Amino acid sequence: MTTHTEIQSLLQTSAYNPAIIPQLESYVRAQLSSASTSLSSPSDAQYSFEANRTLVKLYQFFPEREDEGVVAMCVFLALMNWPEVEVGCLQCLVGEGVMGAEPCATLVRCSELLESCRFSSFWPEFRKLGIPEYGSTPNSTVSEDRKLLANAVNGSKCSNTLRENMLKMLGKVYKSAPLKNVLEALDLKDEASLTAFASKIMIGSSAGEENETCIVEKVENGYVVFASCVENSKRAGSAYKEGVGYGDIARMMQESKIRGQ
Amino acid sequence: MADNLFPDSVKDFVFDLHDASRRSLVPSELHALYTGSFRDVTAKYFPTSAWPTSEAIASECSNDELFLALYNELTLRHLQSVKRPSVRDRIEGWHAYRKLFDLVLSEAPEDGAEKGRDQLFLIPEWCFDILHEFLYQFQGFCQFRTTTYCSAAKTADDPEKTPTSHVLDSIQVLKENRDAWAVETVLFYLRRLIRVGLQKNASVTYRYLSYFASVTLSRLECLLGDYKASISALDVIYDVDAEALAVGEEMKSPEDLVNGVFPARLSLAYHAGVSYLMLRRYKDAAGMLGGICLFMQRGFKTGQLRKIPGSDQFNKLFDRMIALLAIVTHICSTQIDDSIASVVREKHANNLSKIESGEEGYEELFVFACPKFVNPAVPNYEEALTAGSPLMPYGQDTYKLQVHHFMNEMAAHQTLRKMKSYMCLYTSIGVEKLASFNDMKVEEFEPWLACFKHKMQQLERGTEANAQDKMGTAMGIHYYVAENTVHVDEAEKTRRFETFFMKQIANNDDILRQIERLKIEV
Repeated sequence: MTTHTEIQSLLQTSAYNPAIIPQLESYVRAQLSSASTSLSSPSDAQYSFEANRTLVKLYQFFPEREDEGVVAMCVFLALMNWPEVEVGCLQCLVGEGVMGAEPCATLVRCSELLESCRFSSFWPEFRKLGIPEYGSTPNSTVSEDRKLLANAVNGSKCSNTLRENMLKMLGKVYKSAPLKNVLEALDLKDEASLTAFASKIMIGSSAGEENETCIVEKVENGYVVFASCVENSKRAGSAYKEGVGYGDIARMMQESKIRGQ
Repeated sequence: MADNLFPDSVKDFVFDLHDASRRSLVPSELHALYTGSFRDVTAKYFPTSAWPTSEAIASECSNDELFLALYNELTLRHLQSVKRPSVRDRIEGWHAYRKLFDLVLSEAPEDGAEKGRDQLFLIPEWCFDILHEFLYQFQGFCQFRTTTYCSAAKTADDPEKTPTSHVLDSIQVLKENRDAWAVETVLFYLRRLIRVGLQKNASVTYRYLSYFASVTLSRLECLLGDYKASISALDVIYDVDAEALAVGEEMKSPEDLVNGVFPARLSLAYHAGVSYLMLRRYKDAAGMLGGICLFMQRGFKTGQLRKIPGSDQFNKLFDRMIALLAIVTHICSTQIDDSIASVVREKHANNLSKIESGEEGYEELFVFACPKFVNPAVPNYEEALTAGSPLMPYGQDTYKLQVHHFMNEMAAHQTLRKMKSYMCLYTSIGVEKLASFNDMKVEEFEPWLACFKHKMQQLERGTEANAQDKMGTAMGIHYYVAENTVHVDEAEKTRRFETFFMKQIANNDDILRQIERLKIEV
């Protein structure tokens, strides 16, 4: 199996050579398999947006080589990296014909729901991707790539990645949010599952990035209280800050000194 | 032109240019020849016609293959500026560039080899002009083959019409030259030039070619719709650890090298500005575009820019960048110079007031301002002549895709702007009340509170003090929600006064340096 290092080396030397398409496609499948397994291992294929984006561009240059199933996998992997803008970047490279057909069409809807932070509406759409036959024409055979995608959706790793990203976003907006809303947003059953899930997610506290704390401070009186951070707290002291960086002044003095000599 | 019909000044120019670029390697001599003599001789003898062919002048430069390839490119560039190229001219251009780059790369030392004697010198302007024209011809060729395909496909569907002989001839030539201007080969040459120029044993000319190839690569990636790659291509130029390089008698950083060639600086800023906008990096877009527009505004006033060749295009790009700034400054509050802000307001008051009143206005601005994106795939020409085939090659329309994506991004901003305008009036307000101001139910409204923060979250370029990009926000306010109440603060005020003083000190320093460089002969 091609490793991440080998892929990086390939991208350095032969990025736009169509002969590397099979290797990049195989690496996409490996990334998706790694995303499906619940336990991480050193042999997991590391996510590489650069590799996937290069593949999508090769499809742009050589449309006859385009594999819609692989494009869908690339979009799915980018979706897991939300709130990065990666799905948007891929949408600028893939034709509307492919993006408008399943499963890409559902992936795009999922992306739109994440972008507009409609998390509770996201999960029913997302679960559709877990049905391999969803969106396919009647009596057609479901491809191996589509099954691989469905496995990833149905596995817990991807759902937990999405939950973690959503929870971090909520933690930037809310100091305290209704428990019911948070459970719906994360597609979790009850307070116990939220507490168990959130206990593994740490963020830098407002005291400094080095001091990490659990993202959820407590659940009390029907509210989820998030750990304080710069984003969800009142700004301390004066909001008006002035100051000149030492580096800027030193550079300026050095240049004037040289000229004065 | 036969040898005995050449004016002496043409022969002398070729001889001197060869000598300066291949033997004496004196920057000031080459600069005078390339920027002065070439234009004078062209204006006098070849204002609307071709220079002598490279075969005709080969004896003036000892049949030096690389120099002849440089000469061929230079004169072809002139010809295509005065005469609309035919399909065969375009193919000829491709072969000229391929030959030139193959020869330039073959003379470059191997990575790790000892640095030999420099055998080629090109001034920065010449390096950029080669690469800029290379990409301009690529862009033109992509557009040409798409329109040729579309003309054929339209008539194929109508049994009463046949394609014109001109279109059929073009299709035939294109079919016979499928590899011409292939995007993967264009990318190969640019990336190879960058890599070779970054080697430790690279001469100054290869370093120039490397940095200008990065500017060109950034432009190409932007035209393909790959905005992340467009910004990454500029990393080598902004690398703070890069060694300074000699430009004339000065030592300059790669960034200063690029800024010293105004068309390169402009191309970099425009395409980076578009890329930052499409990546939602609004503050970086404003910084990049605001900076170049301010420079150009001053240049137009002093008349400095008029002296630069190709200056007739500068106004058009200035207008397009002002339109981009209208979009960016409207989406988020970000600082740009007051004089530029007033130009933005003056030129685009109509569109901006349309957007304020709830109508759509961003699309018109974007369509005016955006570059001509290209369809990189080689069309299936046989399909173009068959009825029922897609009207665009492979149904691909990169330009429409970018506009569509941009409009999707802008769709949310009308609601976000309304929401922000209400939030600015309060230090705290109930979620339900804020929802009612926005004509929404609470369940429908709550996601917008998160959406606003998400959409405005963006990477920001590192500063001189800290080169790392970091996550920031383009929101003009700070808010958070606690127990169904939205608490609103003003955003951290950006530094104002000390930035102004620092900028004026730097400007003063710059002026004093220029004065010191002036040689006054009494």
